[in-house]
This record gives sequence, structure tokens and C-alpha cells, in this order.
Amino acid sequence: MHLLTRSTRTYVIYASIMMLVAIPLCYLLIHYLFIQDADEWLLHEKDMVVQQVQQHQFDFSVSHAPGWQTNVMIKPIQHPHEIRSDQFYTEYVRNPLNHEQVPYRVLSSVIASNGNYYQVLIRISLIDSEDLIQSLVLTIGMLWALLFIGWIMLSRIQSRRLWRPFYHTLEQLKQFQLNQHHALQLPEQETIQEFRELNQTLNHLTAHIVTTYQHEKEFTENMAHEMQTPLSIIQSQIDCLLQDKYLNAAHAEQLQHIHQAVRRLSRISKSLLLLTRIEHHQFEEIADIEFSGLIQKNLLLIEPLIEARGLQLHYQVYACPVVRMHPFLADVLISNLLSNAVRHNIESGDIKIDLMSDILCIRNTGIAQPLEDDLFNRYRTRSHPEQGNGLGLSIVREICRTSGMHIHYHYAAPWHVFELHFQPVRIEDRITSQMVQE
Amino acid sequence: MYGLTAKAMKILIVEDEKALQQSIMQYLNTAGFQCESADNFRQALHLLDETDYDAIVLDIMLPDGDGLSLLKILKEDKKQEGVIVVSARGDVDDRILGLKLGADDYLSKPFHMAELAARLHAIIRRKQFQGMNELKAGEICVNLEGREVYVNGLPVNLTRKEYDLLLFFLANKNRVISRQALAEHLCQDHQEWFDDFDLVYAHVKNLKKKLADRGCTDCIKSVYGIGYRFIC
Repeated sequence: MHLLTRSTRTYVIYASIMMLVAIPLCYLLIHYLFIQDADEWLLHEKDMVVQQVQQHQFDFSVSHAPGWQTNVMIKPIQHPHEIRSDQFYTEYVRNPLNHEQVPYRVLSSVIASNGNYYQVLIRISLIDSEDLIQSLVLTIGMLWALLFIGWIMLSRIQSRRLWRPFYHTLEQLKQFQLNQHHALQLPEQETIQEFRELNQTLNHLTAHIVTTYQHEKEFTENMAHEMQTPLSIIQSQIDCLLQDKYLNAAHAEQLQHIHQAVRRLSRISKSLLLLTRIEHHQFEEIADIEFSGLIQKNLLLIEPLIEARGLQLHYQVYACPVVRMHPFLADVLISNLLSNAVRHNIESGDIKIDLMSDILCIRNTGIAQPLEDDLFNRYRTRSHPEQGNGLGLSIVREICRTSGMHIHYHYAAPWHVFELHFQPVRIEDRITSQMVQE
Repeated sequence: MYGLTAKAMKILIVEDEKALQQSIMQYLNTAGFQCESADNFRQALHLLDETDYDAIVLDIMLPDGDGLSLLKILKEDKKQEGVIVVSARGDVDDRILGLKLGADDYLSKPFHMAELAARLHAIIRRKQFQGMNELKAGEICVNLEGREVYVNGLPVNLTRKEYDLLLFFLANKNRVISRQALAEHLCQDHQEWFDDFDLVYAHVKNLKKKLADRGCTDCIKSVYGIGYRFIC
């Protein structure tokens, strides 16, 4: 929900409740006042009638006939015990002309004159006042509604103007990308103090993040690069020592261990460097990669190994998708996935590779239980350091992330299934159909 | 031996790390190359003025200048030396830049001496032996142009990888080659395979078998648990 919607909604609810409650209340109040007024007038009329009756001036001929030609009706009554005090009530009378029910306020009273008793009914039409009340309430209601609408619109406009710097900041923040290597440049001259502080803080914070990110990248790069020269010195010395004709088997084995450790060290640092570079989007160059060719090329390398381990390879090409990505990353991606399928396989196991138009599915047999959920995380397989450096699958995930692909793993006995979902390039959109350099 | 003539091939090693420079020289000298070394940019320029080399091993990062500028100077002078650029920065971009500037090959540190020797042989072959494209070693004869291999005159049908492997062995004759060196040579950029010696065993076994089928039985020998030695 938007900030503006939220604040407006409160106002609208308040206004609606107010209207619903206040308009009937207003109606009732005005109605009550009119009735009071009518009753007072009726009492006054009665006093006039009483006076006329007592002075024998009242013309009974016009007033006692039924049918209410006039607004006063007097009829003699015999039983004084019916004498009651003044009674007011409202009655509805049908207008014979237009058949509408017309409200009347009626005063019913008994008066005595010269020992005779008369019942007096005096009435007054309320139809004008009803109309008046309705118009009054309608006018008041409309005024209120206008007031509320104006108020809400004003507050919306004002809020929008008030929050504009905030939305601007938010938009900038959304577009902020670490790998562009520059901090946010939000205006720090806002008139509203909170926004000014917000912008200042964000500028400061992003500048700090960018610097830290840059340092981390530089550290990894320097570390990876600086390590290689000392390592290559060790490496070259070992190579020379291996040629020594006086070298015995025990020494050779020790050298071998040193050798392996050196290579591993070098490789881990290179893998970390690769990961960092992928994370920093340093592989911007793209080409259209034909997956089937890439897979074929990688299979060529490992075929003897698949044979030696007695693995059965089933490679099915259902489509020849072309994917737009960095050629080097494509190569690393495919070879990592294939290496994973071979390395974690069992003796005489199976590998199934299905290449479809937007999915590459690699299935392999292996340990008879699903892998843990964190298989794409770094250094997961610490228990088998000889089986790769534990970075292969996290490199796969990073490559997927930067190349707009998705990798999923699930276990469907006996298969460990890795599904690579990608967005193939349509034939008409293809740039040069470049193959990865070998 | 390799080559058209019996003359040893002259290599200039431009590398500021003394220890590395020394061991490269030691390895290459015993592998039949004739090596000279330079510690820095200036010295390298000086040596290049005086002598013609067959190939140069060039470190990109030198104390008094960029190895790549040296490469530029060489190319501007139309020098014929083959150049292998060696760098601690194994980045793809660096490699591409090096090759663009006219380097013949690129090796990222740390590298195996056997790999360096194989690459030097390959470069010199490309540079010098136009027309002369046969490589003989004992009973084995390699036709470099047609990528064909004969043992005792009989053709051996090798896959591309096996052929590569054979050339690698031939470039490091009588040397002990570690399994790692072989693995990395076989897999090139696919470093996730580098620790997988089964891959090496599988390829070497196939190569051995194909050579043995044609009567070349003992040329690839296992050495302790280290690797192999190609004897002829």
C-alpha cells in the first residue's frame, strides 16, 4: 500500500463515518425543532379558539363539519369525563388531488364553555417544513461532502509534494548497483530536515559500501595474483627436483604431496578470484553460445574417463539452443556440471544428459540419498578435499545468477538431477554464431 | 632430437624472480635448450639487440617496465622470436591482450616446466620448421601437418587428446613428467579436472595401448607415484 493511499484512507474512513452519523442526527434535530415550533403555533391557535368560543363568537357552522375544510374542528361532547389535557400527534392525511400522504401536526383538546363541552382539533400541515428540512439536510450534507473531498485532495496534493524527495531517494536507491562502483549522489539541500538527513546518510552509507566492496575485490585479486609467483617458484623447484636421478621413492612421494598442495592452493585462489570476478560482473562480453557444441567439446575430454570408470553416458539432444553469455563462463559452467556428474558417480553408474530448447538436464547416479540443501554454497564438501575444491557448484550458481539462468537440484532415486533453465536466443536474433575457443 | 639442425635452440628468459629464473634455466638446459636470462626490462632489451633467439619467455611484470611494452618493441622491430608471455595474472583479459600484442602463447603462473617446454617446442616448430614437419623419436614418427602418427611405418589412429599427449611427451623426452602436469595439459582451462588423475590414467592408458599395438611397447614408463617418463 502506498504511503499516500494509507493516509488518505484514514481520512476517507473518518469522513464517511462522520457523514453517516451526522446527517441523520442533523435531520432529527431540525425535525424536532420544527415540531416544537408547530406545537407552539397550535397552542396559540387553541387559545384563540377558546377565546372566541367563550365570547360566543365562534362560527360553529364552518368548524364542526367533518372533512376538515378548515384547520379547526370543534364538536360538542356529552361526557366531561373525557376531558383530557392537550394532546399533540402527527397524522398523515391523503391528499385527494394527488393521492400523496401529507403529514399534519394535530392538537387535540377539550374545552368547556357555559357548561357545554367541546372537543377541539387544530391541525397544521407539515408538508412545507418537511420539504424544507430535506433541502436543508441535503444542502448541509453536500457542503460537508465538498469540504471533505477538498480536504482529502488538498492533503493528497500536499503529501505528494511533501514526499517527493522521499520517492526520488527511493528510486535512486532501487537503481543503485554495487558493481557500477559509484555511490549514490542524492541531493543534500532538501528543506525538510528528515529527508536531508536521510539523503546524507544514504550517500555516506553507499559510498562506504562501494569502497568496502572495491577493497574486497582488490584484496581477492591481489591475493590471488601475488600468491602465484611464490607458488610458481615452489612449483619450478619441484619440477627440477623430480628430474634428479638420485631421487628415491620416499622423497618422490613427499615431493608429490608438496606439489599437490601447491596446485591446490593456486587453484583455490584462482577459483575464488573467478567467483569474485563473476560477482563483480567483470565478464561483460557476450556471445551466442551453442550448448550442444560446448557439451560435445567437454565430453570429448572426459570420454576416456567415463570409459575407465565404466559409466554409461546417454546424451540426447532434443533441440539446439543458443544462449547469450560470456564464452568463458559458458565453458566453465558446462564443464563444472559435467565434472560434477562424473566425479560424484559410482562405479558402473549412469549419466544422462538431455538438452532441450530451454533446459539442460544432467542426471547422474551417486550416493543413494539426496544432497544437502546447501550444495551450491562454498566449501560444502570439506570431507572430500581430493574431489575438487568445493567451489565448483558455487561457481555454477554464480554464473547462473549473472547470466540470467537458473539451476535446480533434486533427487529422484537413483538420480541426482541438475536442471539448468536458460533463455534461448531466437534464431532471428542471433549474432555471430561463435563457438567457444578451444 | 627435435629440429632441422643439431643446433640447440636459444631461449631468452626474462624473469625478475631469481629463483624461478634459475629453475627454468636448469630445466630447459637439461631439456636441450640453450638458455640466457635477463632480470629486467633494460637487460632484456640489451640482450635482444645482441643476439637472435628462437624464443623468449617473458614475464609481464618486471621491476623497470611492463613486459607487454617489451613485446610491443619486439613486434615493431619485426623480430622473429616466438614469445611466451608468463604472468601471475591469469585473467582471460590479460591473456587476450598478450596474444593481441603478438605473443605466441600465454602461460599463467604457476606453470609446469614440462608445459613450458612443450609450448616452446610448439612455438619454435611453428616459427622455424615450415616445410619440415616431421618429428622422429625412436620408432615413432609424427607428421605434424597431417597430425598423423606412425610407429615402425604403421599408422596409429589417435584421438586429438592422445595426439596432444604424445606431443607433450615428445617435448619432454626422458624427463619425469608429473601427473599434475599431464592433467593440466590435458584439461587446459578446465581446472575442476586438475585433481582427477583417473583422467590422466585413462588417456595415457589408451595412448600406451595404441602405441603398443604397433610394437612400441616400453616408451611410456610410470615413475614411482609421480607420473611418467617418455623414453626413446
